[in-house]
Amino acid sequence: MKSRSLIAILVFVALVLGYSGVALAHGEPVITLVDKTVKAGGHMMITGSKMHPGAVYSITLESMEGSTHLGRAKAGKNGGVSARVVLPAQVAPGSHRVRIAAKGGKPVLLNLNVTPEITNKRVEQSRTISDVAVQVGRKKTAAQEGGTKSKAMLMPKMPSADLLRLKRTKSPVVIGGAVLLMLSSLTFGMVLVRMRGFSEAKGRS
Amino acid sequence: MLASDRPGFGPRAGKWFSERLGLKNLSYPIPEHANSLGYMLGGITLIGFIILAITGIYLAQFYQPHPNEAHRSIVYIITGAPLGDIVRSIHYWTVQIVMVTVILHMIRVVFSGAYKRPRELNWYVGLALLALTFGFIFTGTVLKYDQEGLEALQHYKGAVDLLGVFGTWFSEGFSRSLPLLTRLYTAHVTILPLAFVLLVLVHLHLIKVHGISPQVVPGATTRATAGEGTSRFTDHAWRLAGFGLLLLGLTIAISLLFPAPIGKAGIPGPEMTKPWWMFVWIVPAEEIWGIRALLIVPGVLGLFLALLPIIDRTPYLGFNNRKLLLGTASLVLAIIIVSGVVATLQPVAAHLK
Repeated sequence: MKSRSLIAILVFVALVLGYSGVALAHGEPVITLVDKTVKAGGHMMITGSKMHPGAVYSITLESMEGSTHLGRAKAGKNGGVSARVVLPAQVAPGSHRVRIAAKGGKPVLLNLNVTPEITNKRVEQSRTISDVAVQVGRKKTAAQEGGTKSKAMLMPKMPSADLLRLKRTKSPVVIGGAVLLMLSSLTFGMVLVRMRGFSEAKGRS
Repeated sequence: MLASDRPGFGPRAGKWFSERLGLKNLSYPIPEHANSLGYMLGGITLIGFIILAITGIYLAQFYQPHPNEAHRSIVYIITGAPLGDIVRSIHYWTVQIVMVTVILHMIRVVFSGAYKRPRELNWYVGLALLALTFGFIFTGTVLKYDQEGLEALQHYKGAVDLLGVFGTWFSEGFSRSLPLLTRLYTAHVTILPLAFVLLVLVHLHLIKVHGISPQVVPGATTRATAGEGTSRFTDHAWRLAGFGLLLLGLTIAISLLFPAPIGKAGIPGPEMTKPWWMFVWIVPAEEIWGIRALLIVPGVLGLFLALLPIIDRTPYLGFNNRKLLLGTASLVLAIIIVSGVVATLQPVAAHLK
């Protein structure tokens, strides 16, 4: 009876502690991206309020291809911040996240849509991005362009049945864990398959 | 009571759960032959689906079901997501093994006459589950959105066009707010699993009601076997759990040695790929009838399978009493295998306009 009461008290305390650990929205920094869609190579504006005065915030672009540090921003005395950061030109078009965090603080994650660096409006109107592979070439110099502005280089790719060759490195922990799970599954599986009359044996004992 | 007489924690916990969950009721009698591998293929398939559900839920945390992002997110799963490559490979290889067990299960059911009275309805539930399995595999192929996935989607669109007004729900034009890929993803993770779970529950209930089909021995006739047998369902369940663990171990081993492949991002154009082995046998028919083969062949085969309990109404289970029907079934199976081999060996040909 005592042990049950003890377990009940422990569960109650855990629940209370767990609940009190939930962060409340009051007083948290409010950070926004002025434009939700930005061209690769373009710039984006970040504004914030209710931030810790004088705190330095690190701005990072989180992508499926990896993370890119974009810069830092320092909050003013009033807790506000306004920063202009440049996106690298080689950022892949699509969905990304901007991570803004002070040292040791809780990060704020904002969704960002990146469009190709240079677009040809006429072609875009007639073809969706899934219909054509957009290969964005490097900007030519003014001399190469003959003094004109750089233009989009749209080169339709050809379909291919080839497989992608990706770098599939796995940490020793992952490989070790997988091998352990495999061996234990095979061992216990074999034991259970070979064990006959389990309930009868249990009943006799 | 002496302290030494008191049972240990394990037996006490077991008794506690058994009393509350009514596990003793699971120890009902079943025929001994239900524990043979041939009669456990359905159960092994079910465990395979459980592995697929768990790995699928994990993969869904990283997959982006939008045409512009889908392939990129798969590449991220392989190269960046924690445990992504190994989990995706387990998902991929479990699909291959499950398809084998599904086919073998169906062949066993046909050849042992398990579709006969009183199990006709369960046969139809099984056929529906087979259709759902193909639906899972097809939608899963499209989700990769590599060249193979894109070409599968193009074939789908062609087949849906042929359905006319009946294909409205499945067509790209039905929804303007969502891309077709996103809708197929919804089907893959919600509609198909919901239908699958409901049908599996009916399938299991009917097996419980009628019992496992009798063993095929000379002179054997079809009948319900519920409540008969010298074995227990709990023994069957433990053995099934063993096969499930073997399946898991096997898929992990294959996944470590041969990680699941992914093609280059799909680009519309001339056909470059062939479908997976479970679909490839339709390709020779496509050479003859074009995209219509995607409706004609599964339709004819499905009709043949649906008619089995109606054509074969004798109570006999033995091969000698069912020579004509089993000969026809063997011929159909041989045609499928030969078609598959021919399609695998021949060069890729375009079937889309």
